Amino acid sequence: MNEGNRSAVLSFGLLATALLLAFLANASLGSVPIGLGDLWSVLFKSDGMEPVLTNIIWEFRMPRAVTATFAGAALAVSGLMMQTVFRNPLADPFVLGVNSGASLGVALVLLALAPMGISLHESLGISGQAMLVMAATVGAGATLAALLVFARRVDVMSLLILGLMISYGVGAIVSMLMFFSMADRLQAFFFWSYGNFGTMTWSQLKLFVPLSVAGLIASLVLIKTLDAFLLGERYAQSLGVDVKRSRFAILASASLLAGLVTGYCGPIGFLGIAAPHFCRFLFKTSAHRVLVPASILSGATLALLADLAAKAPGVEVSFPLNAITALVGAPVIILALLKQRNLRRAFGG
Amino acid sequence: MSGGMPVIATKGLTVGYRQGKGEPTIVSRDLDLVLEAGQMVCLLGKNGTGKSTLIRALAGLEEPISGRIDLLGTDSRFLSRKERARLASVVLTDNAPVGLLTVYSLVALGRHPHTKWSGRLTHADRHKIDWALEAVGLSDLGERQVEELSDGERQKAMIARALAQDASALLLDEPTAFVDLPRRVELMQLLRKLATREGLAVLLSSHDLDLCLRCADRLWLMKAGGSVLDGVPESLAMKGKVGEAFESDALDWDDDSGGFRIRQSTNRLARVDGDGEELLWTKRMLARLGYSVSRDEGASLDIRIENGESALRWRARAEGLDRRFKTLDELAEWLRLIDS
Repeated sequence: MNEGNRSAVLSFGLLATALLLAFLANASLGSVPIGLGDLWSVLFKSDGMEPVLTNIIWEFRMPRAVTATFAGAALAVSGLMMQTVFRNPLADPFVLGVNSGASLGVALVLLALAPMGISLHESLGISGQAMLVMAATVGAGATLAALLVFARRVDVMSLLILGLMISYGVGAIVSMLMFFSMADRLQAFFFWSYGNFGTMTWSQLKLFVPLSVAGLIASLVLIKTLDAFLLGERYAQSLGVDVKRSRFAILASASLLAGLVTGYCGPIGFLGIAAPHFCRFLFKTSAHRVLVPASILSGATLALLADLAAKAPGVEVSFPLNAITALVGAPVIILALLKQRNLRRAFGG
Repeated sequence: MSGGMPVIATKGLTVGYRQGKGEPTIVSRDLDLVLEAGQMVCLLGKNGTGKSTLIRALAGLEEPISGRIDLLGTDSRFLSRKERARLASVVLTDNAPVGLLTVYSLVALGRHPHTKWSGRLTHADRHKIDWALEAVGLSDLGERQVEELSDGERQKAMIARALAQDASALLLDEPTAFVDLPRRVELMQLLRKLATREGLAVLLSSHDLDLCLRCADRLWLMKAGGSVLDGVPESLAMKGKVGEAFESDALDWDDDSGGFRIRQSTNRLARVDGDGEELLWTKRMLARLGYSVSRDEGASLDIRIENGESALRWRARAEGLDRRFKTLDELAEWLRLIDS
């Protein structure tokens, strides 16, 4: 094993440890701090514990931590795939307007369809929930498809601006829907739009976890194809890659992952940029064999930590999750741009 | 080496590009070309004659408008993408952004058509990558980040990536465009070596006429309008074909020197006598200063380069003056003086 390999293994060990610690911290800290010992007893011994504590851990803390883990991994991998396909360091579900597409889908379900007899967000059963997720995924997919149509004609910078414009346009439709909606439905939409890992129940996780695992497995299967895209589509084609089909497969999995998280947890920005770039910085490589698993680990870790900050342990209030990710993510990306030139280096800018 | 075997053969190939749904824009029509194993062919032509389009079509990156391309005797339409990738590799002008990749991982990307779905490199893959790095002389730089390389080294790394693909044909679009002259010569020698030693069929486009004339086994001269003349460089040059393909308002083909000279509007005649290196460079200087050089009597400027003992080698007569000079510098200064 050579020097590079050993340090990579070490970094993966660190990432995995960080994920474990973040998971434990997320599960044990909250409005009521729970000691690690209690956590251990409730999770693995189950008898003889206070029912209240058991209830908090099993019904609130664990679903939330599990949601954050999978959502973070999903967003990070989704961002990574988009950055590779668009060959743009700033591509992520949020920046490219994919989130706003998902928002429109959700807004249509919550604000336009709900009055037609479909119940509200909080009480949505599995079918209603599935519908919400589907709406978000279809919305995300439609935006991505629109961007892809443009992606063939315009350069990368224009594409970002196009993403921004799509966001504005779609945002306008969403405002229109909101303007004509009733207060209680607006509340549901607002609540969704702040981003939250804390509303998930085990029954919702039964769908969320397998779907995100499916998306993540797809990304692992696509590692070789993603690598071929590193030199651009022409080189990918010269290597025997069916570019159109592969691009579709990559973006379909990316929008499944982004749409899924956005549907269930609301729009959560910056994780999709921050996690892959953190991994590029850590491993000094663009090879997806390293970046995909590393992004899964670091995305999950970052999401758990962001959620922990949003829960604000020890304080009476909690913060909107996407505000936290933006508050932390934006300066990190600015710093990365200014100091390490890492974003540009990653793509040879 | 399997010399002479046709690796790429086109029959009635017409290439161009399609924009929207309208009629395709034809760049080259009815090309019958053969690229043989062990040969280095230079595709020469002015900018915009369609060299890149032809290369991309041969590499399978663009659909031909009509006609066929045979790769090792098989019509490329019947080859899978993977099979095609194993027959022809490319180095494109695309400014491939390859930051945060080591040279080794860049070259490893070339193994794509050979690895299984997981992309895991086998012993044989690694062997091929090492060979490719060795072939371009980058064995020591494997762990270096690509972006830390010089332009010439980066181009070599891209060539190594194509070599690692282990194809029979290596197609390069303007591989020497962004490197300085010594590096350009080095790259050409490298490609030359790959053709001869490894039996690769090498096709590169360039507008570096001089270098191609000296290195290529054959030239494919692409003229405005997209027709391609195929032949041994010297023979094409002798027939005046090279001159035809490149001539412009600013350039004239010079049969004497086998190269181009810059055309200048001039009506001043100069006569030069002498030989050797001095003669060549004196003529070059006079041409640059706007004289047409001939051996006719009666030119307004008469220069003799003398081989005697005297240090004053150049004797110049003009406008009734008769001067001697030690160096071309002095001569140049004097000519400028009598000019004004």
